[in-house]
Amino acid sequence: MYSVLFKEEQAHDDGIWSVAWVKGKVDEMNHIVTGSIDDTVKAWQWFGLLKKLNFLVCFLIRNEERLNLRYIFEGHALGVVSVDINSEGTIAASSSLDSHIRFWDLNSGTQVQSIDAGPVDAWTVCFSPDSKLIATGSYSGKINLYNTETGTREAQLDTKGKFPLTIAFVNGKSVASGATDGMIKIFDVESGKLVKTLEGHAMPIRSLAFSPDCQFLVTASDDCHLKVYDVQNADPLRTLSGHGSWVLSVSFSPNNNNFASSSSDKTVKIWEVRSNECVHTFSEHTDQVWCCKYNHNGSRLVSVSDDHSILIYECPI
Amino acid sequence: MSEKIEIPLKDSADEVIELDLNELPDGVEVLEILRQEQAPLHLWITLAVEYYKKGKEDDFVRILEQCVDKALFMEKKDPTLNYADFEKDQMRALDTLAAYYVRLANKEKNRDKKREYFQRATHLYTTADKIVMYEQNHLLGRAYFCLLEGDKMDQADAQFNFVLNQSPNNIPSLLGKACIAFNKKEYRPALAFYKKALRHNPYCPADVRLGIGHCFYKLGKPEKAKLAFERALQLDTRCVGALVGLALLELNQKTNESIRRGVQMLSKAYTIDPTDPMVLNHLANHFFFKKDYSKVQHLALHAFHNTENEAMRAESCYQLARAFHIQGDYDQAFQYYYQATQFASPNFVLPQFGLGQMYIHRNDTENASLCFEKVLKAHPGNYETMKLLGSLYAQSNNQAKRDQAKTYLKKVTEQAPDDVEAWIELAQILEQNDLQGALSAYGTAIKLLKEVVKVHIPPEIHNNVAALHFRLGNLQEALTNYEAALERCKIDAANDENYFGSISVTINYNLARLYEAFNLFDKAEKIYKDILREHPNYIDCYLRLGCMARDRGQIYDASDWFKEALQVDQDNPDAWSLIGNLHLAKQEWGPGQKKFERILKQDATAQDTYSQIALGNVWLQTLHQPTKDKEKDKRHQDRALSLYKQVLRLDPKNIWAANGIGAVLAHKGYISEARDVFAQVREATADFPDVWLNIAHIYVEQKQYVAAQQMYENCLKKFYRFNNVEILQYLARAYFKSGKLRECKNVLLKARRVAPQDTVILYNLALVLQRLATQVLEDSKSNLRTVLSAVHELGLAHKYFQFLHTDGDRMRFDLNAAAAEARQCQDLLSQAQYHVARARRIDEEEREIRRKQEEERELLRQKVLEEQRKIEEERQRQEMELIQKRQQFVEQSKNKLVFTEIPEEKPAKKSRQRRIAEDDGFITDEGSDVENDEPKRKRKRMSGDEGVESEKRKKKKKRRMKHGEQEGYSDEEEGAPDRSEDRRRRRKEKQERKRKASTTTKRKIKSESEVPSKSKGKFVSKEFISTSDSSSDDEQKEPKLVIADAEEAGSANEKRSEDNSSADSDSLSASAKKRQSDSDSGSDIGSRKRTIKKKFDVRRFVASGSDQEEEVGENEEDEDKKGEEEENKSEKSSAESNSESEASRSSPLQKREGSDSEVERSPVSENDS
Repeated sequence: MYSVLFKEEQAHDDGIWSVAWVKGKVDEMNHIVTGSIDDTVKAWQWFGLLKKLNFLVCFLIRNEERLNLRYIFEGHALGVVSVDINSEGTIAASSSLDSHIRFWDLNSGTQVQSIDAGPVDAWTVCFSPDSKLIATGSYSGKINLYNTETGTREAQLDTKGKFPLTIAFVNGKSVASGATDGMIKIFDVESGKLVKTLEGHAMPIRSLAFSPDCQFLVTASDDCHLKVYDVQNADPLRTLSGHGSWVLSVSFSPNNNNFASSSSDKTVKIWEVRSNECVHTFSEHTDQVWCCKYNHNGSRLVSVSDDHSILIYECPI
Repeated sequence: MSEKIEIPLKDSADEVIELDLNELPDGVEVLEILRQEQAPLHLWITLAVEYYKKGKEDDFVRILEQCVDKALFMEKKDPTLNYADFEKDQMRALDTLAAYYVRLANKEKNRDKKREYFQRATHLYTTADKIVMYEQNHLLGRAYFCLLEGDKMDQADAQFNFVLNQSPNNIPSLLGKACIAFNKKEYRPALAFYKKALRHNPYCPADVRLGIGHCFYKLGKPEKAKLAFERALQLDTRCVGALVGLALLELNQKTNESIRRGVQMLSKAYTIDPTDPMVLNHLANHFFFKKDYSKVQHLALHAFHNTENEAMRAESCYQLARAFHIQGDYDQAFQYYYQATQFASPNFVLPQFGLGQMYIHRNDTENASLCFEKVLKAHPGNYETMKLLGSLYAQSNNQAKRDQAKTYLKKVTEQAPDDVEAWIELAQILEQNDLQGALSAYGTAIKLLKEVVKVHIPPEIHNNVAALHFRLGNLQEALTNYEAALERCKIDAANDENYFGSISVTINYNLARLYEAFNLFDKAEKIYKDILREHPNYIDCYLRLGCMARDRGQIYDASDWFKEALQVDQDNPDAWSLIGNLHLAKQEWGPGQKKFERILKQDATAQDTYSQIALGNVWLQTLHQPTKDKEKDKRHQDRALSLYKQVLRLDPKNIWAANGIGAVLAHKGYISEARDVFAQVREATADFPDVWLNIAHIYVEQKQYVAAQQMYENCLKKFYRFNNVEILQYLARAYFKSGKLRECKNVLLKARRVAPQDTVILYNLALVLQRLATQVLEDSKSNLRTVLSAVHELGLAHKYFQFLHTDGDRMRFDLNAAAAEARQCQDLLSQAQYHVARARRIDEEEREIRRKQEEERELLRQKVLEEQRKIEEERQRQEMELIQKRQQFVEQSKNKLVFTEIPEEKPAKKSRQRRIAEDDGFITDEGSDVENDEPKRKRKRMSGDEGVESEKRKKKKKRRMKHGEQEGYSDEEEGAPDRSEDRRRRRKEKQERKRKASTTTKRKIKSESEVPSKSKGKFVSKEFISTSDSSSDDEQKEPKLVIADAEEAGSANEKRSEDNSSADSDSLSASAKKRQSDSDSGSDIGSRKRTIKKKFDVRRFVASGSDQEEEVGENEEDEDKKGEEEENKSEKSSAESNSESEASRSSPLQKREGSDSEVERSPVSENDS
């Protein structure tokens, strides 16, 4: 059953623009990090249910599923555009409109690294699967890859296009970007060469996501549509409509079967890959939903919105 | 038996000429005799009457005329006439003749002759009047004459009354009265008169019985009427009236048998008098129901020719018309209906009804409704007529008539709540303005269809209901209804494939529109394409596909679809308008303009208000360009204004035209007038974002910033769910102007979040950051933290400006301005070091003070602790002493025990006492030194030596109690320090406050001294801005309604998308009953209107077509944006130094470009004019 499990009202003082959810590999902790226009990044811990508990116990402690605020990271200016957590669940990265990328240690709650990317050269951030690199787009249409340890720029990929609003890694070897003109470019990280160019949308692409098995790519755009591509052949498979306004974010479930999208029409929709149909719509938020992310196994989904709240949903696997 | 009349001879007294009445000689002969013998008048009359009775009317007339002549002209000369009863005889002669003429006149059908007879009769009566006025018979005759002449019933009545006064039982006048009463529809009095007459003369002719029969009939007593008619028939077997009456009674029983009998009677009457129109009409009526129409025609025609009575003629005409009507000969039917209406009294409305039907057949609804109105006047509340009128008026263009139709149909549905047709008609008329009502009417209709008629609901109704739901926003309901409709269509398709096929296409189209509303664009697209596969001429599908492509931003695809539509219909105005809008959205004003002009050139669409408004908007655009030519500005304003006015003439309720006029007014500087216009437009509709924006612009103009901000925000919330960059920038500008820089920054951040590639936003953001930082730095109260963040942001602003200087979009603002701003930031940054240092110093000072306080506090605390420790030590010492003393005492007492054992009891008592005393002491001890456990334990041991169990218990209890006390005490102890801490805190606060006060005063002094230098720098830079690039408000004389924004393209997209949605609802409303083709076009016009209206805030435009010019246009646009930017920028400074800021603004480059475009534009505009 799809349902709303938890709502954190007023999680930030202003609209929340970004969220990330990773389960720590060592500490087994459900880390959720949110970034808001109020210049803060907040690190939360989600207490989920233990699998071994029987039904009755589950029932009794159902209310025990909750979100705990662990740290408030300050230092950004002009609003936090994007956050990400490395796959180990130890470091969170955040970027803000002042073009700084900051790294935070999720255990100690301290800033470990800061990159000043130049006036307009940082946008959304994305860790590589091995957590060694972090990618971000720039005004000049380039993708910059920074070393997460040293903060130095390792490589620059030139899309020769418009501003890449969103970036995603595919299995560590290649990286894809979606730009304001609706173009999708896929690069080989190793060689730095442009591998594929996908034309799809005529309006800005706000978000893109690969399926964990790297078979599909889903893009979300201002034209109210989502598009599904076959990564291998760079074929557009299907155009999905259902949102009534800009689609702001898309997230693929780790189980490969579903993906979720959030939109300015205040809804979060769950789609099924096999049928390409919308299987559920959440209309819980009262303002545009900037971002949504699945947890490690796809049983939970988090969404953040301009209404200052964080919502956590239950999704059947 | 033979009677004889004796005519006395003139010369002899006894001799007479005997005339046998049975063998009357020739009239002329008799006349001769009479004249020769100078017979008295009464003989003349008697003879004449005899002749009349024999049927020799000529002789009768001749004799009487001679008689009258003689009586009138020879009376004086002729002595024979001087006898007693002369006058009486004279009267009788006159009256008889007059009565004869009246009778003739009554029978006569020829109008002229009739009048002649009446004249003669009148003449005779007036002559008679002169002789004896009040003779009974004369009066009676006169009364009947009045009666027959018609419309003199009152006169006749008066005369009858007079006669009755003289002789109350005068039968003729009784009958006359009865007749009058009957005609006045006072049947009861009439009956009374008839009965009275009958009482006085039981053998009076059948006519009286007939009258009685009619009265009974009218009074609703058919049995008595029947008796009366039968009696009349007994008296006079040839009494046609009675036969007809009986026949009618039989016919009205409506059984086959009775009808047969009735018809028999009618035919009997017909054989008796084949010319009686009443009989003929009734027979015709009968044959009409027998469907023997030729006979009907024959009989009715016969009847028509045999009567002069208009009511009768109307009846026969009506019968004729009806026969023709049913045979489908509508022209003939129309003629006869018309004749019938001419003859008929206002109460006989059946022919009007028929005529109305004929008019409907001829599509002359005007006259038809007139006819039905007449019917309705005679029979208010007639259900069928109201229904007909209702549906007639429903199609009218006149709003008042449509309202009337609504009331009629409502009445109909009230009268006949089971009439499905009426409900549907009502629903259809309510569709126009009362959606909810229409829906409930359809609901009733559907219920009736299901429950009463028990048929399946036709797909049309489902479709209409769905369309209504769609318009009301109940999308889910709409969906189920459409699906039901399609289901029905599939089933019904077996019966009439063509019809239901076409219906299902319409329903599918509507369904696709619904899917669009559900945002299921893929489904909608599939349906449209499916429809096109089977009906490649379905233009609306092309248009919708185009609109959907356009909303996805695929402009070229959209254009292809629209062109596809044009292939089907070369002149489709909707397709042309949509293409024109595409051009306008891309700011290709020239091509766009041409598209709209093309529409207006077509005859069919020469009055197309949408295109006119679009053109008006194009002219309005030109006003957004900076131009030196005031004349031209004015000309364009007027051109736009005249177009809007023209539209308003064609359609006085066009809100888009009104909005345009408001915009022109605002441009001319009539702000408050413009505001009134906009306010009215918004009252008319709340679904029109442009007018919200315009009102907000006006608010800004009038410096009502809070209202403006609310307006912008509401507009954003209501119409755009995403961060609309254009409106966000307007909002930011309003905040900037009102000095709310933080809000402004927040808004700009939101805008930048969605459009990071937009350098204009970046510029504005940098500017706001700079201002904010300046404010913070100037404010000497700001603490280190805010100062540091301000400096950080200032640094950012500096970086941004530097970036913009080198990498900014040259088309959109002046890069040099960015450089200048960057320099200013640099200046500020260098000053900032000082501020930071100062803030840091203050911070450090504060920290120092805080540290000192801390130390003091620490000292104090330590002192207190010290004291406490001392006190405690003292106490402990005392305790120790006490304990020692006690021990000594115990020792002593032990010694005593040892020494004095002899008095046993005493010591025991004493010991008890002692024990008690011990206890007491213990208590006090414990009370005094709680903290020490050691003595207690000691004591325990000691008391244990003494060995009384109960006492132990007691002690334990007590100890427990004491523990309680102890706790309480310690609490108090803790409380005390708390309080003291509180006090300390308070003290500290006070101190701090004092300190702060002192520092602030210090700072104030400092800042006062600083301000001049700082502000000097600021002013300089401001001046720099204003001279270099402030907006030339003054020159343009254009209200600064439009701010710095560049997102025209983006916003235009949104606009268009909105149009569609509005179009959707409109065209959806097209019911399946009306073919969607025409209705949809109408609605699309509506949608196009939507698009156009919103050009007020779009500023620039070039009125000519080539690509080059487009470029120029873009340049200009950029300048403008820049200008607006700078407007934004220099707003504050301009407020302070208006004159400076309004100095000439544009750089040489801009001027050149401006003039270029002017040159190129002017020919086109000339052409236009």
